[in-house]
Amino acid sequence: MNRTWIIAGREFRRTVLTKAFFFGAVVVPLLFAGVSIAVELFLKPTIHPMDGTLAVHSGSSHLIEALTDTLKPGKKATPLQLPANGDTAELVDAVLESAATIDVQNDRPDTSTLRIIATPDATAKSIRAAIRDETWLAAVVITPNEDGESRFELIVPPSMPNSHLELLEDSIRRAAINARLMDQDLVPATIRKLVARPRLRTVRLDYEGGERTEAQWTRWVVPVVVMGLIWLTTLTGGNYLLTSTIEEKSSKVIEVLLSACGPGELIHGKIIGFGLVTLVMITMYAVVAAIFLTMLAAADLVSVSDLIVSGLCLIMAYLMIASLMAGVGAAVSDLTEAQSLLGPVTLVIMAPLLLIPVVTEDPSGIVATVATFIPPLTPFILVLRVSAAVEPLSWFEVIGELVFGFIAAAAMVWAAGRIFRVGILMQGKPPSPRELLRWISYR
Amino acid sequence: MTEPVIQLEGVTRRFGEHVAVDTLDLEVHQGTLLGFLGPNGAGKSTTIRMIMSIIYPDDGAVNVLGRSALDAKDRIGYLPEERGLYRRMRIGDFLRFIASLKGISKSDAIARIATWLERLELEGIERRRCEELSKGQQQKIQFIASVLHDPDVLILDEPFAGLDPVNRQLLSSIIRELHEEGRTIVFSTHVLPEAETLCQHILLMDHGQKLLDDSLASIRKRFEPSELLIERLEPGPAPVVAGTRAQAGDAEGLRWSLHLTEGTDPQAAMASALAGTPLRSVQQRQPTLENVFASLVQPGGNA
Repeated sequence: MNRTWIIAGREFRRTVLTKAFFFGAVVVPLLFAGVSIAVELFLKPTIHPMDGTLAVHSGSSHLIEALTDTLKPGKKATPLQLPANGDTAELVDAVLESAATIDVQNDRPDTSTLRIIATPDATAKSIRAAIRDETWLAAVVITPNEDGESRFELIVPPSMPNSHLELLEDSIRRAAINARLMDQDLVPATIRKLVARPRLRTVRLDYEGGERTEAQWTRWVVPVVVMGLIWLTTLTGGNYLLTSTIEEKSSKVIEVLLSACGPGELIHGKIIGFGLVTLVMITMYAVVAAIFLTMLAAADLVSVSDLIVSGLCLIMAYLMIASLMAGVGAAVSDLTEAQSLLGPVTLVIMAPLLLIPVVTEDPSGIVATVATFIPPLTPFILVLRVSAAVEPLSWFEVIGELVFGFIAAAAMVWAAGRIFRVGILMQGKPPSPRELLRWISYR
Repeated sequence: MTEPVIQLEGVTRRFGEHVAVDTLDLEVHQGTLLGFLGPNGAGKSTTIRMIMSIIYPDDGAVNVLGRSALDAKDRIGYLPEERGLYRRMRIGDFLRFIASLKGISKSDAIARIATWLERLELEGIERRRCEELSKGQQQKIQFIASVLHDPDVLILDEPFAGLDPVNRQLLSSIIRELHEEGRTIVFSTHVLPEAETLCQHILLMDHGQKLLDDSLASIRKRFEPSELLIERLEPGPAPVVAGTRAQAGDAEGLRWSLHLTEGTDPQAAMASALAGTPLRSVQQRQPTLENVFASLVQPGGNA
């Protein structure tokens, strides 16, 4: 077998076949997905009914009426209306809207046995005594201020659960507003209808005569998640490469390896080996993402072409990050020294995250386009642009940028190999960035 | 003479302003056991690394087995000066990994590893982790890694460093056996008596330059001191020998050392000494590598 592949195999096995990796990269994502599903399916909290008397002290008749209305039981969840045309974005909107109302229904305590009474003659002391001995469930005390506004005080027993408390607090606030409207002879339901935010359906046209409906959240979630996954996994794979190189250098095993293979075979083997590790990691995260997208019936938010470009960008990003890490690893003697060289590298690696708002806002803008041609930003910006572009980028442009990116990645791997060859046997003071550049030109 | 197995022509290697190896020419022929000597910083390890194609010369050409060492790695065994093991890796796994890099099949590797572990008195440690071994044991494992693939050429950089006398003797005997099997062996060392015992040929370097490149016999002849060591049967004065420029004796007057003038024939001087005085022994003093080393290596270097 080719020595490069033997080294790649060893690096892959010794990283992946460890408990730490298994738990970090395999168990944790699967556990996260499993727990999310289990919580959704089985672990809904038990909400007890709100049974008892709510005393309202010094409240107007409008307030009592409004409070009775806001606390009345029997609100139904909005039924799920499936879009007739099968449009994904509409489906997602409908599911989310329905889910929100289902949550209200499910998480809201049953108030069918709750009584609301006015207690004009009660005193602060008697109210507190009635709540402590559980005669009343809770009490609302309204005190007029000097400026005509009212101060509301909700008095509850120590045992009141949060779900009850939240419902009472929310209902009192809403009832106070409704009472004010009624005081002005306005009908709250009418006002609510007048100020309700309309449901907006965005239809994006294309120049070929077609159109598609888009959900607002998909505009940024998919690009950011895809880029984030690539960023996270390539950085983790690169870090594995860095620490492995430093470990081999500091333990002096590197020259033993170089007695059996060339420096080029060694660095390429390591890059491939940790590349496979990265692939395992992103596969696990992709599986989790696929589970969530399937649960949301939104799997078609990611097109096949986007997946292909994302896969190519992942490879390109890994090669670039791995080259940087291999260069740094070869140039230093330990992790402490690596920090000084990693400073500028980290700044470069963080740049795609800082550019997310600019690129997703205008994927074809000058900043996004220029950043695509700055390695190692190329793969991150490109994947962001491709998945965020409302008007798809031309294939000519995408292929051109991919070709540029892979040429840049190959150049970075080559330069890392040159630095690796010179630096890997050197000990002592770490080189300056200028010296690193000189190493590239060494014979 | 056989074709050279290792050939260096005008090889120069600089590190910045420092010239580590300066226009070095060298030929090592098939079956030679070459001792590569020199003080620290002489350029030995740099030369060896260039021979192994781990680093490349700035000028000149290096050939091993008629090509670059990179292409001939499967036929070269190399024990580097800077050596280490994967701390957490098991000995068997490490040796099998190195064997696979050298192109040895898994089954073959298992058999060879068992043989070599036994030969170096390390039986039963395959399952142990590298970090659990003593320094000497680790060094023997590294030696096994360098010979596991049955190389034609063996390059050992300071193979005796860190070994106790028993293991040093064991390693010497194995090197001798490998040489007797017809392998070409180059080893650098600071342990001059070991080199003197083992080597046929000596290469001495200092400040990146070759000071000496000859067979041990020729070196002895060339650096033969004009000095006779004489032991009398009875105490008395130094024997009278023509051509003596200086003499020194012990307190009893039994043992004498005669320094001859340049051009005096030692054989004739010994015959003359025997003729004039009853002696227990008379011999010409043999030059040691340490004498040669001390006389050639510039003081004030890195040694």
